[in-house]
Amino acid sequence: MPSLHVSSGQIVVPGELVAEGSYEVSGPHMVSGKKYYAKVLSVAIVEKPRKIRLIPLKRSYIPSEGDLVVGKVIDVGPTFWLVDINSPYTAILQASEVFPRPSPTARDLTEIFHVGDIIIAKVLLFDFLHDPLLTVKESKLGKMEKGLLVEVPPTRVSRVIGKKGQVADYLKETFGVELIIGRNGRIVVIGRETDHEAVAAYVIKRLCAEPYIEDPLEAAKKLVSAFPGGGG
Amino acid sequence: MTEKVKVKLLTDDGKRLDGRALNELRPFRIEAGVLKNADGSAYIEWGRNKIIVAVYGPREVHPRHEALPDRMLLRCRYSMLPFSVVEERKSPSPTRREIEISKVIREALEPAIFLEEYPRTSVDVFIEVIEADGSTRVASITAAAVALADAGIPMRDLVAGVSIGKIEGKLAIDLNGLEDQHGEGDMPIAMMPRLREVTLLQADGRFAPEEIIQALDMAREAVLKLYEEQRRALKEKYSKVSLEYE
Repeated sequence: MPSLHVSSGQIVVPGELVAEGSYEVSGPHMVSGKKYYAKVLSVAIVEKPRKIRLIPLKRSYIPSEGDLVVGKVIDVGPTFWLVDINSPYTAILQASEVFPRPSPTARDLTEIFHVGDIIIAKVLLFDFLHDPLLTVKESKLGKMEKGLLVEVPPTRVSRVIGKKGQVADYLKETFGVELIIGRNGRIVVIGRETDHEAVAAYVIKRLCAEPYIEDPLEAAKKLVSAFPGGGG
Repeated sequence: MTEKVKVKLLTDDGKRLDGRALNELRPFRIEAGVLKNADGSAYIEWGRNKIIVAVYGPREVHPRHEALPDRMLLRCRYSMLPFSVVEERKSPSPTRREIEISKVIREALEPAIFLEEYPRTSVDVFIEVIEADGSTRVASITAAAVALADAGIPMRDLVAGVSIGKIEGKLAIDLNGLEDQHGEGDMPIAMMPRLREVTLLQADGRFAPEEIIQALDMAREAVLKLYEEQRRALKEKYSKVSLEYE
């Protein structure tokens, strides 16, 4: 007999029984027999009568191939840059991703990216055995020349994007800014005026402050309306 | 060799010197997420014990050669502050006892953690005993499990521990400093409450086989009470989330 052991919005601790029987559980969980247990400290959301989503309250960013990330150059090696991507794994940007062959010298590398530079990159490869490899070969990737960097918990990045990018589009339109959303919890806000950047950054920060928001688009609209003139 | 001073630890009506019954725990309270700078943290007050735990990670391993290719490296450091004991000031340098306790705490926590989820990373658990009054290792384990969960570390279950001792030939739960010092035995036990699996069992003194079985039963019951407090502490910290959702 299927039984649900949580209510929507309930906090579950590691090892806590969430549901028993034929349920569809997403998010970090473990299964023993037909019992579903939480694996990390999460909020349980009952989406449909038989569908439960576990949203972790805290989680480190684990790189995944194809992810757009915003990184900080922390070291320049002979043929690579070491990039902090807000993850337990430090990423590597190889010189071959920037220079045409033959391999450049160390002096050439510092001419492109210095320690402390913020770069927008994509995860090219990651398999847990080796450090993640980055690429900047696509358009709009490379050094962050202007804009404001906002840091949010990586688990809450998806709400800045919203369903089909609705939240991101809304923020772009309202404040006239461009958003580069790194999956690693770093978001670059580029606007024509610094005031617009600052307000958009504030809304993003507030949007990500709460561990769970039912409707991010509605929450964003509410935050924007709190500003005199409704933002922009 | 100096002879051990005999101290009467039970009153004539069978109560302990602090007024507790043999199977009675001291009052305990746990708080989760007390430190802003740590990834996860917890504070426990258990009798006169006051312990704070900070968890950092998963993060890159330093020195890098210590990284394990297939799993996370768990490191624990149990440390007593110089003013944590009643006797003369404790030296701040790690003693043999602290090094041993750090090791047993790590081994008591490891079975509960999905170490294989973050290979080549480390999680550091720093335990600072602010005030000590017996059974600090089990109190540390209980708080460390909360701090690990608060840090978002994937776990099979929480871990909670309690000490069972022998005073005047009888088994007693949750020894305080005096009972630990003058009692006939001490058996710290840590368990994963939901899985009912023992992750730590040490014993100092003489225990008959039936006493060990009885001690495990007593510990199992006490661990469930601690587990409830651990859950309460974690849920309370994030209760705002639930309220907002409603």
